[in-house]
Amino acid sequence: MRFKKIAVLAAFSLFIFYFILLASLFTIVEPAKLSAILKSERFYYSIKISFITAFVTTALSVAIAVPAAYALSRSDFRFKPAVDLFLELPLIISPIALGALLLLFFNTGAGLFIQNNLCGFVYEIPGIIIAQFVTSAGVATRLIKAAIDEIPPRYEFVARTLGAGEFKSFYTITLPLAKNSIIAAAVLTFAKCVGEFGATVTLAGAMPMKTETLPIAIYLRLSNADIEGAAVFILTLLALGFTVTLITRMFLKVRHG
Amino acid sequence: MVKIENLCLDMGAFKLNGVNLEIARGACHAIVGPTGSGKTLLLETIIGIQKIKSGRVVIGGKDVTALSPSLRNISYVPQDICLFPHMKVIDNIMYGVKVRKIDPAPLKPFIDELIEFLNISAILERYPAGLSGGEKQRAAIVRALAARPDLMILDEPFSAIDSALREDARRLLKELSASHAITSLIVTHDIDEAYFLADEISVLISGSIVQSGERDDIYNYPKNHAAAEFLGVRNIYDALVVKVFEKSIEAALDSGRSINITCGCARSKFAAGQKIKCAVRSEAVYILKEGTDFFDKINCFDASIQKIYTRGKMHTVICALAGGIKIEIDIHDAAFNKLKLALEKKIKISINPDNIFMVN
Repeated sequence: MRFKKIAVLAAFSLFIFYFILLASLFTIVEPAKLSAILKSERFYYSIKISFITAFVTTALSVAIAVPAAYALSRSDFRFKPAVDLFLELPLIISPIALGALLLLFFNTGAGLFIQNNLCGFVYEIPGIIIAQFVTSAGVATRLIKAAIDEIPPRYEFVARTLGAGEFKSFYTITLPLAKNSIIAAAVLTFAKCVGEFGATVTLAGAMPMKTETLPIAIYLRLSNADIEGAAVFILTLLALGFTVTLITRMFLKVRHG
Repeated sequence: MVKIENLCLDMGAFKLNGVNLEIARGACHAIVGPTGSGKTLLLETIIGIQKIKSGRVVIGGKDVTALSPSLRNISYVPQDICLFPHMKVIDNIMYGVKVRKIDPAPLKPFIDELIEFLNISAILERYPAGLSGGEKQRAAIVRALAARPDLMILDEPFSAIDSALREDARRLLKELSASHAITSLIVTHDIDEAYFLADEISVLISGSIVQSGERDDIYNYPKNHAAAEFLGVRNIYDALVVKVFEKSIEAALDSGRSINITCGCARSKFAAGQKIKCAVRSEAVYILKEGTDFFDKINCFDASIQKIYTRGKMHTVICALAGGIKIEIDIHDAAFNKLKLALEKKIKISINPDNIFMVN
């Protein structure tokens, strides 16, 4: 009984810690300044570029993560452990290191060819997308794989004996059953992309009104000692974070019994 | 006719060793075996989910071994039933018809008949989550049969159903199979279920079919020690052939006591000095009334009751014969009370030689 009380105290102390941090923001921001920043073009640009790049990256990540997660969950193939290991990279390697890795790649022959002939990434908006993709695709795959792992393969076996081919059984059975988890994974991926900083600043730079995503806007304002401005952007990210968490929980709760 | 020929599968730690089966059109064949014997794996190879090392699956003269599961026309009801949880019962039932793009109109009377027969018309618009085990089971059977498969495979079909409803479900399946001439293969570890449902039974132990044949034959004459044990034969003894007569042999049990058995029952030829294993079912051993004379009876022995286990109206009496040989006897409550059986009571038992059989 005493241990339970200590455990509850630990959980509550975490809540208090975050609550104090959050409350401190409101002591910094004055309503007049908040209003001015919210009406500024730069604020809307940051929101717009963050959302557009995060949306594109989430779409790309989920499009690749769903079949990749299915393969990792259902198939045994050569180098599967290696593929599985590489998906852990974004979790164990610093985003700055991943961004630097991209930057170094775009200075190799192949990278320069892509830069010069296909699409510019370094200090460009597509650089934000690829930086977000490198840090989020593995996480999306992990989340979706966990969802597919929970669905017994027997559903597909049964579907196949009833006449469905491999893709049809995936499309009509596994995908609908994993739908809520995939949406939840997409929402979390989107949030991770919006909040991505390390890889983005390393590859796409911190250029106002160009590669100025919300985290980069916070970084730029802190660099210029604009504490109130930084606080407004932090509040914006927090609001987004809470919204995403609520949406994710809603989708994870809605399950077909 | 469904034929499984020399089916071999190598999963490293587990193998299926040359499995052969034949199921006549409209017949029900049961595969029985203990947990871990490879029953489900065998089903999965027949369905086409597991890649086999060698062998053939032939359905109606057509070799389907190389075909994918979707083209074999074998339907499958797994142990956990697996109704698709995101579809209503009716959508589950029509799934096979839809994905195969079959015109549902000609099948509708048959499907309606199945729905009627299995009494699930009230649950067609419901999702599986709210159904009882029995309702799910019946819906899964209709789904499996809706597109008229050549073979229906059921894996432990009644394990998810409460024991009170299991007997009803078994009867329903038996009646359905008989009335619609459904060719089915059932896997179960419940030997009573196999005896009830199947026309033929195969005993699978450690990836090999140790015996296959008609239900009564399997019941009366298990060939193999492991099969006999699995089939519920608890009295199995090592013995030595002492004398060979025209229709019987006399064999000495380990303790030196002798019993007579008939050759017709043993189905083999014996020679004096040969080591054998003989067995008798516990329900084929009789306890004689007090005062019965041994003179005109063979295989009669003195015994003392050591343990009694009661299951409802049946009792299992474990007796010790002279020489310490143990024998189990199943006896109905009425006879049990009439004979006034009790622990440590001295009794006389008798075994009909025709009820003794040999196992390898």
